Amino acid sequence: MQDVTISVNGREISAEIDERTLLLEFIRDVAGLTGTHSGCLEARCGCCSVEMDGNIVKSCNVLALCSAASARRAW
Amino acid sequence: MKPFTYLTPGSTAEAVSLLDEYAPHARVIAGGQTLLLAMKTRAERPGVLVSLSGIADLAGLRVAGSGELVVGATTTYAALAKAGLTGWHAEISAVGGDLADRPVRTMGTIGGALCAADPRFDMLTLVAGTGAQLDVLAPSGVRTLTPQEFFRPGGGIKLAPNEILASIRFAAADAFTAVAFEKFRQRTFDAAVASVLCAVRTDAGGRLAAIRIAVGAVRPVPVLAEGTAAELTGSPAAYVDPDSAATRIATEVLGASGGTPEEQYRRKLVQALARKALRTALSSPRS
Repeated sequence: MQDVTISVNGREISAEIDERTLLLEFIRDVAGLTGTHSGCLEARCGCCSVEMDGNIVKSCNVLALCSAASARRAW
Repeated sequence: MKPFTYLTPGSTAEAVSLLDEYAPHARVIAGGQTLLLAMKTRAERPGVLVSLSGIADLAGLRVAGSGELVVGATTTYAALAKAGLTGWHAEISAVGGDLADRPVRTMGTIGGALCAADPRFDMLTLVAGTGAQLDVLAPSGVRTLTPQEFFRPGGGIKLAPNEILASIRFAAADAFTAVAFEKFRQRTFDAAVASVLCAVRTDAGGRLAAIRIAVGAVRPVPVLAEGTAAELTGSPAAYVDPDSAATRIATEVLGASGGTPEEQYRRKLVQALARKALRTALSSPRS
């Protein structure tokens, strides 16, 4: 478990998360923003896409820890 | 995914020492676009992930004094695509901007593709075809490998668990007059079924001073069509027949005939792609 602070939609969210937590899971389960959908979970369909530092990424294929230093916007 | 420890070194020296400490259970993670998928299926089960995302000197491009283009291993495809490179280096941007899909290009890195060493990845064909040099960091120092030395003939790479691919050095912008890359994929975001890269340098008289042809995705590592390249070297670029040269390339890499329907399909595909790549490279305004 590791402490992390991630800015989602301008809101700083801190939590202790498992290292395996995907950015998608952080946005849905920790931040509670379920508009970011969980689809194929293998970086194909794109329904989990979010904006991270101005660029689009598939949040099912990024670790929440990898993105801790950047601000992101869930759609 | 199996549980792992996530480490974020701030320098390459620290990253190498962490890898050295936790080898062979540690894996480097850059963009993670290949590794995370493999970890989800448990094809990869690293106990320690060493993230390179916090190491600033591993990302970005610069032109060295020698004219070489030095690309940091954690440079993303998106960064390559919008780098505004000139000369034949523009083809590096074109390849980086036309693989996978936009979200994957945001995260995926050139070094990640090379270390994952999936033969269907375009970066392997690009690096092998243009004869780029690969700088590897080891606890004992830096060593430079050619693509042939970097890739294992049966697939995979020859790096030790405590080594990191640091940068890729592409030949200077004037090393080739034209470089053309062609590939075939089922859907736009799929990896290639076959890919061909053709790099040529013509002299003042319009003769082919050098030509390199690489075929990717059909063997565990990209294959150089050295025999065909040797035959073409020295002939006037305007008189090279792309059709017959493409046939020779396909024959050299995949054999003359026969095989399963799949192999026959692949041979035709390589032939068609080689023809296109040769036509583009040979008809470029500068050659």
